[in-house]
Amino acid sequence: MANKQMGFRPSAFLVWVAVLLALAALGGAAILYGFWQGHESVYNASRWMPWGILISTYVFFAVSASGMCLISSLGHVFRIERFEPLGRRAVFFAMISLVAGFWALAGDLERPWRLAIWAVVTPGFSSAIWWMGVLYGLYLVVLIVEFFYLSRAEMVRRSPASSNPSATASLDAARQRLKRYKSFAWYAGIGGFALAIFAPGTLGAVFGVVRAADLWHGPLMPVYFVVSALVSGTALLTLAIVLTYRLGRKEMGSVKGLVQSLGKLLLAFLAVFLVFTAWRILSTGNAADFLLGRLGGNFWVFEIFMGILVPMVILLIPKTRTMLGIGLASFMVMVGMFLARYDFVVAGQLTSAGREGQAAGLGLMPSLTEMLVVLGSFALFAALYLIGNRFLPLSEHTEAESHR
Amino acid sequence: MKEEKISRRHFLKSVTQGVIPLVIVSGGLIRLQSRIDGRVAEGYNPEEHYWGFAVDIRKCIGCGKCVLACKLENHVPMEPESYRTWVDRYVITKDGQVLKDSPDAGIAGFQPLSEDPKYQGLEIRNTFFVPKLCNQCENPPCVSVCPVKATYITKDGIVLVDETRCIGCKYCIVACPYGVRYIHPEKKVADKCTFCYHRLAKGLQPACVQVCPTGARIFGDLRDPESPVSRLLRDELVQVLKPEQRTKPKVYYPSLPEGVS
Repeated sequence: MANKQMGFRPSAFLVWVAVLLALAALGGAAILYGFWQGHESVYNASRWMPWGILISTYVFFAVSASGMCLISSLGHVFRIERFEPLGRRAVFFAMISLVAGFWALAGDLERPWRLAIWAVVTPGFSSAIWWMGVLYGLYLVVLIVEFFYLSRAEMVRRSPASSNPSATASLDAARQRLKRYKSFAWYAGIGGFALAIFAPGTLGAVFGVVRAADLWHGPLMPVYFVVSALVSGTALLTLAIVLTYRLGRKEMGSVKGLVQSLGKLLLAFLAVFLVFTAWRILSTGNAADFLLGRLGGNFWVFEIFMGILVPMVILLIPKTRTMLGIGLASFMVMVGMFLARYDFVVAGQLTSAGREGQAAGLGLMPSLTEMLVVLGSFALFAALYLIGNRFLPLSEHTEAESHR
Repeated sequence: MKEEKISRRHFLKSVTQGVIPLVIVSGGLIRLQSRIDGRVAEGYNPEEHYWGFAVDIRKCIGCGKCVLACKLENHVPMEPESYRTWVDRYVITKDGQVLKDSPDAGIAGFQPLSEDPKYQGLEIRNTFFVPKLCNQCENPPCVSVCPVKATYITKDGIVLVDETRCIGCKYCIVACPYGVRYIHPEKKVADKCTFCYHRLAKGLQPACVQVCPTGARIFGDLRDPESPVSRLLRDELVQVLKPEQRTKPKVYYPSLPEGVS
């Protein structure tokens, strides 16, 4: 059973995991190289633009993690039945997405190991980064607890005892346990839901409180981040489900309906996000000029056209709203979102006060070392997913299907 | 009774097991804290002073001696992007365009405008030098964003960085509206102008002030009404850079032309 779940032959699975882990290790080596050499010499970082693609990659993963948690709450917290089967995969995804994000973030701190001591001994309560770090750290713990109980409940549900009507005593015990695990998972889910709003909110505040940066500064930034969490979380989750079933050549069955629902949700979130993006550009004069000027290609082609408009059209027309169409739309949203994060981080810094006239001579392309760290983050994410998909009960199939 | 004895012994044992490490740990923390505060020389009481700085751009000749002196005094590497203070040359054209350059922070002075193709064919109204450094803001955005309190403001009004505590997240560099912070390439932590804090405690002036050949850099105690800075603040109308950022800088500029920020 466990072997068939992946669809890959075991050897192919091992090869994939080994390759991905090797890439993650290469990213790790690039991070160590950065510590050793200093980021200013091996990253595209300067006193004018100290933050680069590693920060934006962290934002991408961390915000997606929150979005996936919000989507999963629809089922196992708010009890909308259609979304209940999503719970485990979404929470597991949120976990590994956060881990991949922290991996990239570690590469952007010059001395990350000091954080463990000083964030506790002399906490910077006035710092948005401190709160963001604490909330995302807490979030990871809550996600692990939530996933643990969701999986225990699923294991009980799948166990032979619960489907064997002759053993009444053990059936009762199993039901009791199922109930207990579900209630633990529910409490963790409530905590996860709250944190999935607070954590990206404070991440938005990390940028929003910087008065010097016109593009970032503003009270709506936390809200913008939560909205973008819904977009990227839904897209990443949908893409992963479609890919898992397609590549694994698994029968989708009832999962098709679920993906359709996710597609409609994504469409609604994209519409809200489009309005927010327009508002953001219209409300920030100079910074928007830079975003539309030097980063204009990224902005119009990837952020707006590929990241929002085309996916919206695909999701709007019933004919293109197939599994493949929804998967493709989700993929395009992810690419657009990844570049949007980078544009946001870069343009915000280069148009901020104190950088007057400095932006013109600066290249915007990340360095090779940075790209290796980013590649490592994605590889780590994929490797953890393959491992989880093989060994953990993530499947969305309903009771009837799993007992077939 | 015997049982009680054992439990008392247990109690004492657990107290010593618990308290002794606690004392060691908190003692260590206090020591760390005092090491951080202990940069101040003996006999110097920070509460008696409040340091301020003024830059008279009418006197600056753009020689760059201040930039060099600062680098030597504070072990700032000679790399172009590493500097704690710098000199900007402003060129304002007749149609109000503001151009600015600062080659290598101005450490070796400036080429004549006539030799720089960038300025050819422009109708220039005015040109002047503006030395810049950390404004030691009373309301410093860099301090409030630090997640580990590695950067802090002293009682005598100086914003410092504890280089043993800084994690290098660069949030302070991003948050500073004046661009005065950078990552020190050797220490790999945030670095910035301290008004030469190590010299102040010994009664010396900042290195840049001491080497300035024209007296364009003026330094003193704002608590002392007769200090050079206090006198200048009394006699002249002064401005600060980017007042709209509400950082309350303590570096004052008399007669600052429009367009300088």
